[in-house]
Amino acid sequence: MNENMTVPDPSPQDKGEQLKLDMTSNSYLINQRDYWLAQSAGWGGLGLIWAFSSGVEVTESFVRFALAKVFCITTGFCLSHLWRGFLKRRAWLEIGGVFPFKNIFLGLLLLSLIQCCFLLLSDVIFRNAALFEDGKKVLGFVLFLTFLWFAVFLIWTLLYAMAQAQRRAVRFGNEKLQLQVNVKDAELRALQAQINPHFFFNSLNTIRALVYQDPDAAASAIGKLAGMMRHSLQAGQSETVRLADEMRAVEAYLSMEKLRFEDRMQVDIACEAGIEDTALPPMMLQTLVENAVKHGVERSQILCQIKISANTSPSGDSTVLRVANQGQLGLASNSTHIGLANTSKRLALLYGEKASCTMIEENGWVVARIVLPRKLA
Amino acid sequence: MKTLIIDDERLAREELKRLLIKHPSVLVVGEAANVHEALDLIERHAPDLIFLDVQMPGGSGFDLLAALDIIPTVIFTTAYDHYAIRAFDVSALDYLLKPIEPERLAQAILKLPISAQLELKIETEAPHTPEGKVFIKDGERCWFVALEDIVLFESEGNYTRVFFEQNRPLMLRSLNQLEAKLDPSKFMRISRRQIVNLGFVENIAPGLTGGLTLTLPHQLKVTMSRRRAALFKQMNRL
Repeated sequence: MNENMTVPDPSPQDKGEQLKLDMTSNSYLINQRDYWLAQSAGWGGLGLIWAFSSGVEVTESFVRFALAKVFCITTGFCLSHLWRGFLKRRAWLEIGGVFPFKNIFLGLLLLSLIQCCFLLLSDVIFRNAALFEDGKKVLGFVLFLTFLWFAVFLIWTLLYAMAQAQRRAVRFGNEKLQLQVNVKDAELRALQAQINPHFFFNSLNTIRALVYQDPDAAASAIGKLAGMMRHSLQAGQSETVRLADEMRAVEAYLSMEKLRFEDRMQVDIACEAGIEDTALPPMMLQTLVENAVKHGVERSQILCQIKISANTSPSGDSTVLRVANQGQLGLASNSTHIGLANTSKRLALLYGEKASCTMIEENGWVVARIVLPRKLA
Repeated sequence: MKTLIIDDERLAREELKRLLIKHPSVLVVGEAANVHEALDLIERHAPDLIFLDVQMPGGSGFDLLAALDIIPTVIFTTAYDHYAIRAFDVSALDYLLKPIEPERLAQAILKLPISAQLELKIETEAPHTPEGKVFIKDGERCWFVALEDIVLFESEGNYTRVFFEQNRPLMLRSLNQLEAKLDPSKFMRISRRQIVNLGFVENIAPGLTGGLTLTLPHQLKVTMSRRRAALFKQMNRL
């Protein structure tokens, strides 16, 4: 999943499709391997037990007997494999529809008869037709052996059906989980990509006032708002954006807010050089900055400072984003906590344990801090 | 019509002033950027109309209204929280969405009481809350309720619990402050702790200690003290 993220992808749907394919092809290989292991172990085990069932003393008759048994185990192995192919093609073990008891019974009967023929054949080849010495007993033998092999193939089929059911349950669980993850991510992305309507309409109001007072400032403000809108629309389409692009949107946003709040707001942005290409979920920094404005500047009657910084972590393998505003954490509303929780969830979905999002209050500042594993957009 | 504009954003105030130029009946006598300044200006100018932003630092537009004894005609101006306004029982108060449409502003001004528009207001008349309403803000909820709909006021320290319909909000006013503003022919102080709206009394029965037990809507029972009961009987010649 992580590797997929850096691949430039045309649309989220494609990505989902690709993920699904990857998963199924991978699980297909695992299933094949498991099947061959079980098949070999099963028949091998049966062969060993059978081979030593007639004593351990190595005589000529023992060797002949053993050879016949190996031959029969091999044919059993092959027959059951063919039977598997047949079951799969006819989809007799799939869920849905009536379970074909009769067909399976007939199939098993046919299998055991064929196997019985092989057994008699092996007797002729390896043991000079020892079974046929007593003519009266042959029919009884054949019936007994057919019944025995019917039981073997029946057990084989039951075990195979159980393994299939188990595998289906696991696959179903995986698909459900994957679906949940996709839905959650889409929801969170949609939530964060929204331009805050309160901000949007206030900005339009500001711009209309400026149209009459300072046409140049109005024109520049329209450009900034357009840039922000564009960034937020794109946010809904990609999993990550470049830090530099997100920063530009944040700056545009802050310059709009500066028009509204004038000398009540002061902003300080420090972005370390060389980390412009860091990938981050779109609108994530923007959401934190909006929060800082909402709970810092909007509530303050005096000057409120906002400090934004982006740095490499001391360990060098991740990027630390920091958004601080003067104020108190206690004033944060329910929606902020939900927003923060959503941000954490998005990070967890994208980066797992390596990313984090925290918010603390220290010395009159509310500080939001995001740690992102270093990854290029 | 004396008008105040209350909004924390300078440009928003400028824009509204510009729009109001076309309405000569509206005379902007002052601007405030927060609740504190607004309270000062309202006391000084006793405006007929205020344009009030909902979200402001240091207190919302609702906080301002809850702090006023006399509420002028209010038009809320807001960018997006009209849902918040609609959620409250403030139907008597109009609201405009920013950016304000000039047509919508004209409509809102047309809806104002005619006396205010024609400036026929008699200056000597004591100003009182239009239609005898009080604004109550309790936590996140607000009500703009007519006095005649209030059943009972009950003192709780510096606060007063107001009973109307199914609601029991607390109001930051002492019972004594309220009593001074209520019409004594309609509201009666029945004890140290309670003022009752006589219009809602359903039944009167003698109480245990020589007082009277009054039955109010919603199975509410209150007791009138002996001293007040004597006064009451005298008044009504019972």
